[in-house]
Amino acid sequence: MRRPIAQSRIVRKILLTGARITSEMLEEKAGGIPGGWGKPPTARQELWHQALPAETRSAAEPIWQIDPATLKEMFFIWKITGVLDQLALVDPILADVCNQILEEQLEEAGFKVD
Amino acid sequence: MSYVPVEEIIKSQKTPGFKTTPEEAPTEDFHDILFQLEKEGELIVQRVPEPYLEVPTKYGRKKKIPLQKTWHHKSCGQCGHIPGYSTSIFWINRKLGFDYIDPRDQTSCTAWNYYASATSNAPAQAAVAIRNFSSAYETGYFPIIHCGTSFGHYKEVRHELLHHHELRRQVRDIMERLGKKLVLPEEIVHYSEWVYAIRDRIAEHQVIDMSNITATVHPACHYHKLVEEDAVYDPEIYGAQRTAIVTGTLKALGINVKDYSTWFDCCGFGFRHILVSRDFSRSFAVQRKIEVMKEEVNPDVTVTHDTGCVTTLDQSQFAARAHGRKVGIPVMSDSQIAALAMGAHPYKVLQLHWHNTDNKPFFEKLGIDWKKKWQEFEEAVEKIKSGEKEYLTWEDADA
Repeated sequence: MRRPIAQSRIVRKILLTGARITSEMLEEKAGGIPGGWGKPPTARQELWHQALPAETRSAAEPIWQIDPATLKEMFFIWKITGVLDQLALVDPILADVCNQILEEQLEEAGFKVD
Repeated sequence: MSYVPVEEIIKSQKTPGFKTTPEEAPTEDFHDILFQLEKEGELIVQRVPEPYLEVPTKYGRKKKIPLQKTWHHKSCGQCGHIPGYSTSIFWINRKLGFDYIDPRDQTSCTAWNYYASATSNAPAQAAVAIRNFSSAYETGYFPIIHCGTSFGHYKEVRHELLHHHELRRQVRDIMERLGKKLVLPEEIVHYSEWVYAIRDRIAEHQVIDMSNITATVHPACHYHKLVEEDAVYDPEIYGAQRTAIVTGTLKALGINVKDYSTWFDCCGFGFRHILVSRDFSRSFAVQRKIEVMKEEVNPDVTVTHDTGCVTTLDQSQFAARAHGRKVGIPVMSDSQIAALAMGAHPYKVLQLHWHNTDNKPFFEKLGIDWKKKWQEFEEAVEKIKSGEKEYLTWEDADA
């Protein structure tokens, strides 16, 4: 059975950022005119991410800023509810990698997972 | 042979002045269960802060919408692809002098993971939702959800929690270990309901005349098809036979809203399709929505109220154009067009340079000099590039 690419991609991105699901969609294409049938030069995108006035979004990443403690709370939820066990059923290698990251982070934060 | 007066029944409900009766609603009022469980000590209900406005929902019940003291639950896709969507929401808050929080203590709702990969489960999804609600409660600010997907998903989570004791027990246990409470808000509010509720106030601050603009509306499936009795309906809009969201806002701005035959169809995003079968999404967006709008209405703009809908309808037109399809309708959110009407900068605030479909004819029809506005934005970007500034401030956005 063909496994949808999205399965592991989405899990990985949520785990690593807590906020971002899809990758940067903008790519350099012909045109480069804002809002006019074309995409901007890729080099401008980082600058554009900074050219935002919102409080949690003045960063050169296409996500909002999340407190590290908040991210660890989500890791704890995923670990304790068996999300990673489910992930292991569809992608054991990714589940292993995620488990290592989560366990390290949770230990640092003092969370005890039964 | 028995006769069922179907035409008469339908006609009576479509007649102007049709009134809904909450007592005859075919669905439960979740508030009854919510407040009962609060009395039993099962959970905490965060009340909608005063002052609030009341808007009618599908069966004539009232939904409380807070004016301010709002905790903004942002959207994964908005921040990545259409950042001006949420920036416009914040800008309107500031312009109207409303107090709000743009929190860092918020995670993704993780619904996309649940629907697209199936590697999640009910306790995980409910715990993520309640962790976010509990974080809002701790600040004293009321959650307002930017994303249609999160909004619909959280309402389904609420339904599960209200009806399943064992799930409540599991989530309460997880929250205790996180040092948090099991909190549910009195209402789950989508930002577009807030925009709709304050539409007259927005119109009072309108500085751009939009009476020569014709628009079509795409209502987000996750807004009005999940727990549909909680969506905003208004007898004055489509005779309360369709949700009044977005349409009511545009009418308050003087925009001419036109109907089209595939109004109820999905934008093509489809929760899962955009991630696992993107070609299907692109084709659906073009052939079932954009081309139909173009053929039947030829609007200046189409307006919607969800991250996925704006992105899918806008970003799908580029490829279709290469195939000579009948496309070319700029796509915006209701927050962006409301902010524009109030005089927000099209690039510094609305961030329309992230959008794909050509929107210059729309600006020209409104009498907005987009070249001048773009130059202003470029000058601001140059200051960031040179190191003079680290990022844009709200003062820069209004300069």
